[in-house]
Amino acid sequence: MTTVAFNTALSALTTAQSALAIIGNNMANAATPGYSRQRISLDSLPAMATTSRFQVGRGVGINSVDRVTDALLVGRMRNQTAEVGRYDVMAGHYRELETLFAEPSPNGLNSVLGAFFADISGLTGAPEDTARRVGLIESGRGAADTFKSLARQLRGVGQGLEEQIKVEVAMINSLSEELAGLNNSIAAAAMGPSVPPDLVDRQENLLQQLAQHVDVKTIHEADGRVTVSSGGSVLVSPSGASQLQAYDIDPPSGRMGVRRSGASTDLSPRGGRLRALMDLAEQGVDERMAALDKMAHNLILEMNRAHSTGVPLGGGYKSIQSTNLFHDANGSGSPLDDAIGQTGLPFDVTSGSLNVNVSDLNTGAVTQTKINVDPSMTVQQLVDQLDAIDGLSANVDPLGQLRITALGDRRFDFSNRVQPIGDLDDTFGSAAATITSGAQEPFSLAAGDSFTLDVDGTGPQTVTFNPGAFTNMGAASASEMAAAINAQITGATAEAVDGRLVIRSASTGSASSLQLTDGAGGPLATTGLSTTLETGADIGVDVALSGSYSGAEDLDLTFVPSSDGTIGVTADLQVSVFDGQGNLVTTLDVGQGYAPGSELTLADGVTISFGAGQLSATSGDRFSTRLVADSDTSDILVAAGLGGFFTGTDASTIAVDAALLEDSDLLAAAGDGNPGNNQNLLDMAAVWDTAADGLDGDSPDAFYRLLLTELGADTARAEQTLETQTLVLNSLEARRDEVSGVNIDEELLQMERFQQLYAVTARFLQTVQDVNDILINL
Amino acid sequence: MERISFGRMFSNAQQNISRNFARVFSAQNQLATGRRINRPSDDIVGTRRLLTLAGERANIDRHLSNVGTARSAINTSSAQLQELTSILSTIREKAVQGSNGTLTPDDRVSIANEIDALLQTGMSALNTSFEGRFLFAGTSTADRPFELITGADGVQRLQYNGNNDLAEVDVAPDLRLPVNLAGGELMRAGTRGATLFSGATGAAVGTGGTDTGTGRDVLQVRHTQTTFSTPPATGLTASATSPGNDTILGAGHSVTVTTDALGNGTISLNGGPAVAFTPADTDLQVTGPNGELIHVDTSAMAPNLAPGTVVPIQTTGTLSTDGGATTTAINFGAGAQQVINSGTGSVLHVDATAITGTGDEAVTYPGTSDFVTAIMAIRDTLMNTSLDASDVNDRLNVSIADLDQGVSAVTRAISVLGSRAGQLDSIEGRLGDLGVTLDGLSGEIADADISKVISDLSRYETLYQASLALTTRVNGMSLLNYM
Repeated sequence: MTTVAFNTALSALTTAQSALAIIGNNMANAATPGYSRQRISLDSLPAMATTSRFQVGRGVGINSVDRVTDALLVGRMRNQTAEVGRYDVMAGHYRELETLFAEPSPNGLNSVLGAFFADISGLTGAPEDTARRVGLIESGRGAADTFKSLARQLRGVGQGLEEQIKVEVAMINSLSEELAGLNNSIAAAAMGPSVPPDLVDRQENLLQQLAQHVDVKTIHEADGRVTVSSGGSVLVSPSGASQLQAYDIDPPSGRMGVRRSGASTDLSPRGGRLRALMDLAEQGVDERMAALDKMAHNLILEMNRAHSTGVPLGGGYKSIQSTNLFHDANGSGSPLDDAIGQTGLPFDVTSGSLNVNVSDLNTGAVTQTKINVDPSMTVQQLVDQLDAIDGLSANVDPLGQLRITALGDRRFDFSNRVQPIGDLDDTFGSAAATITSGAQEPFSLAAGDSFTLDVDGTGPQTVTFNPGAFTNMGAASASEMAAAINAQITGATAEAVDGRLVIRSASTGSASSLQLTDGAGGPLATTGLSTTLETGADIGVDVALSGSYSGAEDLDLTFVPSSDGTIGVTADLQVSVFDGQGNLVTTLDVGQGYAPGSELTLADGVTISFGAGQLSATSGDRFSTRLVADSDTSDILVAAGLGGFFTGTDASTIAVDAALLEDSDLLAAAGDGNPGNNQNLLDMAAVWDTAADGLDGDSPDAFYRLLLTELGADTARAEQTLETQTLVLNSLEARRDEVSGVNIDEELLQMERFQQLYAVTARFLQTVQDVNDILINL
Repeated sequence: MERISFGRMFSNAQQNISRNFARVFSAQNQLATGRRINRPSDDIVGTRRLLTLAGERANIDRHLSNVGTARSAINTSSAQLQELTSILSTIREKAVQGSNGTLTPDDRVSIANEIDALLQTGMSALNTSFEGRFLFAGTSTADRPFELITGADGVQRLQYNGNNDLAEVDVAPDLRLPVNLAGGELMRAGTRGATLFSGATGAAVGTGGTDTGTGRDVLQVRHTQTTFSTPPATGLTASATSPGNDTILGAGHSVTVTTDALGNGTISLNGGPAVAFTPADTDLQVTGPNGELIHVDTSAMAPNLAPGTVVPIQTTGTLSTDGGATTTAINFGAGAQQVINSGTGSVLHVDATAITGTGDEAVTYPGTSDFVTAIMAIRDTLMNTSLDASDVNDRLNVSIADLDQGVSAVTRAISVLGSRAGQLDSIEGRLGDLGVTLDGLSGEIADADISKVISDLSRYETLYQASLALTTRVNGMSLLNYM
């Protein structure tokens, strides 16, 4: 009995000691993260077969030491950790992006661009003011720099993401290695079904850490080893860990792919920091970069469209060169034989026309030339058309740079200004060849007197005076002579004016001529008619146009006089104006009562005036001029970078045109050749709040607001999701703590319990010993 | 029953403390910056509205700045025109003074010189440049807009080098106002009246149409050829110096001659004093009763012409309004001869039937003169010492009427500028009000509500301190204290 009692007491003592040790361990790990409290479970030891009629138990034994844990909860926590990791990274990066955009603040792009456009508008009040012109150009440079620095910073964030993805992959690899190592240790330490709880704790900890980086799926083997997979790739198998690698999918964009070494498909994580970084590279940064580029691209396009069709100070360009190059597309070594559309210009060229004005500084004459531009046309054809314009020289150098130069005292521009001098070829207004008799009637003629008249060099026609045509040949009147001449001559008419004989060719202009040769009786000498060759003249009527055309369509106008006559003199003299289709646009009264030089309304904002002179409908006087609505419908100026405000194509390359930075006179503020004209500035200022096709129908300011709002929304969403997911994780942790956490009071009570067990057992031993002593001392 | 673990208690306490601290921090940040929205995600809708409001605010600032630019240009223009009107009224006084019939020609010349000096001052006001551009030149602001050019006919004319384009600036949404006043507006004349001739040639206002000249013209009436009628066969011919130098024109002139057997005799023009001649005279000047002059050659005179032999004279002549650059042969039977100025293309209708002699006719087109042309006419009239007092008076009256009409164009321009300035004032006021409203709106959205933030801050502070105190107290509780 004694032996049994001792053994029983011993079992109780060792059990109490072990239990205290475990309680101690629990208490020691009360603050250890991820520690699962261990619980000892006791069992009474069964009785051994004895002789007694009844059996006595043999004491107490430790049945098992268990980790108090909930596997389901642990799995959910891992998933939640992956979500929190993902949104933590997201929120952090979006906050960084928001900081880059610096809105709303006076340093943001919104304010800088707003200030730039305000400067454009401010210049309209004094378009020729050098200080303000320079200010505007500098303000444009500020806007371009803001774009560039934003783009650079965004690219920096993109590169940072690349680095971070690589770091994440390294972390995942290292954790996988550790888990694989732990798998081996667990297998080695496992004793039957019981797995060392500390190792399992460590495993759970590692999995939890891994879940922060990438979402994981686990399969636990019976022996405690774990298989870990993520996004379709096995990271850790019982046999070991696999290594992940990050690689550039699309080098310039910063997008990265991750795959297992040797695998053919990419890892596509559903959570964790890695997922967030990959998402950010694709959407957070790439999309913002794309939107910013789109905005810059559109700004360059629209500003240059407006600017290139204006007129710089000084009446036009002396020489310009394209800032974009025509590239050799077919490998011939020169871009000249390539279609324009193939030469890699950064903006599209469409089929249309370009209006080129060449102005002569000495005469003030402006010559309009409309050239057709088509993307399928070769560069050579374009250059040839430009070069063929009188007063211009154009060439493309081997690098593909187009250069246009005005020859002599000329300037050129691409505006839709009206030609100030309407009748450049002097085809409007002309005079006939005229010979007037030196003497007045009466003229002394004799029967058979004759002379010859050569009209327009067509050969001499003979005029013979016979008595029948006169009442008194010795005192012939001018009208009698005129009647006789008209009866015998074609191509010219004779008339009596104030007692003199006047012969006038029917044709007009410098080709018309009259040549008299005296014949029998010498009638020319008698009448004082000159025998020198008289020619007509092309006395062009001064036609002046002014104003700026505001119509929506080009107007090709042809001006034709309604009859013959003198401007301001002849009654009912009119000039009819026809459009390109031959429809009568308007008629202008220039006859009696019209003061030559006074302005008449022509069409949408354009006035016209006629100087003094003669017009002839019969000799086909006419002139044409074109009122241009859009002087560059082909966008060739923008595409080639001719006379633009900005150069570049996107947010990283936008800059103010270098020539403009050097010479503020090149700022094309005017819509025509007048220094005080601000039409082009008004067009440029309108770019900021005018809807553009390139921005999905938004205006630049609205587009930017949308860009920022989306960024703000993304940030707010990431932050809110992070908060929610963190709350969920917290509650899961609370649940886990509820199950697995150490409660000191609880442990204290347990300790108290085992202490008492120990004390009671000691007492029991004492009793047994006392009993034994009594027995021995018997 | 829920188990609370040791770690849980601490992590819970930590979470709550940090959450409360974050609230304190956020409230403090709002107080420090004074702004509720410091980045877009603070309030997305608010940010969007803020950016829109900032855009509108920038527009207002831009418009306000344009209003400023416009106003300084308009005020300068207006001030110059005010000065101009005072010069013009002084000139008018001088002109009225000059029309006083008691003045001597020298007095008039000195008034003319004063007027010329005033005109130069007026021209400098018209050519005002402001910030490097000429204010009254339309958009052709680099060229001096007004110049006085002396033409081929010796008449000084005003030449306008500018254009009539208006430079408009944006001063409010969808509202553009011109900041300049084109010279053409200032030089607008009144309504054309009947053309006036002033001179002794006998040329008169013709019929047949409206004259298109403006201001003044000089009609040159010139002699071409003199011929003596046959019969009677007198042998009298015009001398070689006659063409262009005789001063008679038209029908109605005649000479009375008589000769002796040797061809000596006398000749008188239009009943004027008889001049003796001999066959040796090839270029004899004969002057008529009114100073008219002919040059005759008497070398081939028929002998024994009875005393009182009357020889009618025919003449030809020319008319020109462009200083002789182009001429029109006079048709003495025509009441509506057109004389065209080849320089300006303007047409003058002349009644040539009563022309009797050569000379210059000063032609005035009442109501077509701008004020500068009118002033020049006044000056030139006063300067012309060969005019008698009544001519001076007549011409001055026409010119002063022109001046009055011309001045009304300036007055009209001043009132246009004044109304624009008024418009700018009201726009500025409106923009200013709108700006205040916008600032208020964006303030409402962006600015922190200080009193609310302060009360929040103190609430969060209390909460934070409470959570700290509580944590310490709870941590102090343990079974150990009782064991």
